[in-house]
Amino acid sequence: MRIIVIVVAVVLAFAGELYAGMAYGANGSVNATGALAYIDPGVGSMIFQVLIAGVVASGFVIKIFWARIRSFFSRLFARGTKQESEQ
Amino acid sequence: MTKLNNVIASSFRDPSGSVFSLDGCVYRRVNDAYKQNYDHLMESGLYRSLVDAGLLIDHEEVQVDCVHAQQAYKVLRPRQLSFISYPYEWCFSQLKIAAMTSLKIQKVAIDFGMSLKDASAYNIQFVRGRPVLIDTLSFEKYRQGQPWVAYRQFCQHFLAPLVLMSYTDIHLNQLLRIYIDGVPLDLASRLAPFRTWFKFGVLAHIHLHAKSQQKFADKGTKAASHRISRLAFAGLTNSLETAVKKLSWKPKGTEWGQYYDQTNYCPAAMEHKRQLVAELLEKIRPAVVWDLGANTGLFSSIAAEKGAQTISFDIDPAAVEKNYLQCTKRGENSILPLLLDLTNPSPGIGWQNAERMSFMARGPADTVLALALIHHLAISNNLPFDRIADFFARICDSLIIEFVPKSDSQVQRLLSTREDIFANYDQQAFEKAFCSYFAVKSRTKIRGSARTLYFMTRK
Repeated sequence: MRIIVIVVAVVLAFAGELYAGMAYGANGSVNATGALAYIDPGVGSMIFQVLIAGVVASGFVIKIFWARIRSFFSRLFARGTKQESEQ
Repeated sequence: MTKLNNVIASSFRDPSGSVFSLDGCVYRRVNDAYKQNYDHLMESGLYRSLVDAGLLIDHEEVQVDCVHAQQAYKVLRPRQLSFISYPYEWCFSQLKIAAMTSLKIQKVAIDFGMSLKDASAYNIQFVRGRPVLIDTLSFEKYRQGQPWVAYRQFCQHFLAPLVLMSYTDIHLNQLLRIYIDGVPLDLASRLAPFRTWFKFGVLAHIHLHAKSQQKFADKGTKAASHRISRLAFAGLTNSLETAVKKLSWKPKGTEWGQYYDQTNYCPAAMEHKRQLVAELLEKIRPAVVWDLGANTGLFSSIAAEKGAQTISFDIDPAAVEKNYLQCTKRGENSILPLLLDLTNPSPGIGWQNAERMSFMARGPADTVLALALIHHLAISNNLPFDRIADFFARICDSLIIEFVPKSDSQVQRLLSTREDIFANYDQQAFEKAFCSYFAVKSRTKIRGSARTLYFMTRK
């Protein structure tokens, strides 16, 4: 589900680019464009990082939360087993 | 007095400091510009924590009398490394563990209020079998809201080659030899197969990342205007970690994978060869051994047993991978398996061909092992004996080399697919060529085979 949402979000974000890419044809890559020496891939990386970090952060929160739920129940279960064995 | 000194060519880009060598010892200069970050690294407990975990190279602060130490904030003497290897010489698992180590360091650094400003694969070296960060000046203080400046570099140096090795072809780590700052993401995106668009980590950090670079390539923007939360920062590291963790490669179908099962040695001949090599190494007691054509490292482990730091080179990624995994499993820390094509060894690359050293510039070794190798050089690659002897004389002080005659079934196998234009391929011609460069100390017939083991020292 998460992947579908991300794909839709990112496709929307890059819709203009995809369209432009089709117009370029196969040569629409960074390195294939003319003024290679003046192109800075760092800008796109920085902008993309802000976007993707926001997306993955939600997954990260769920992951941490899930680990906490699991550890809570495993502790609870372990305690239960201990008490049973003591009885 | 100013002594002979030399700034190491891989370090000139960094305004934080530089690396220089003096009397055979490597030092790191810390510039005033890096003072605050260095102090934070040392005082926050990050340095101690990383060194104790074996993730960062340890150093001591020293005073040296040298032009490159003048007006330095500090001069550091890091633990000295006996050999520098490069990512295009690593097998899949070595590159993967180096990537995981970089991310682990980043996670620890964040806890101490710092972040990696470089995520270069060249900053990781294998020290006694373990990946360690060698660039002490890679850290900067983390400012709330700042994105990870090394994100792109991490993707280019680690994730892109790992994805290509895993999904496209294992040999594509050789792209790192062409692209010194890592595989360009648009190239990686085009080379990765279609199914990788359905793998979230690859989709995000390679394909869409490349698209974004393309989209914003010629649009100016201020870095300060982009901010990410601390949580998003941690999420990004975590996402990269998951992406790397999911990548795998299993050796299959390459030429040397089962080599030891396919040799023409009977067990007794193999045992005799092992015994001879062990006796010679016992006598020589070399500190550094290069095992060329090492396959999965059977003879490298004999050298390691004798206490030598052993570099175990092979041309086949599957053999190097197996060798590395076996070493890791055994806890063997004296062997470093590396990928190398002897007929086209790693060149000097980067600015002035000097940023990364060539294979030969990293020698000589005390002893070279060249077992079951000569026929591959002379017959498969048409190399004359005197050129081979000249090559060995440049990379070692002593040589343990096995001569494999034409009558040997492995040589016959090579000749079965090519015309026999090697009229001079015999033991006499071999000895004559090698005697111009080496003194033959011993020659022993390997029992149960047609082969001879030579021990030679350079003249």
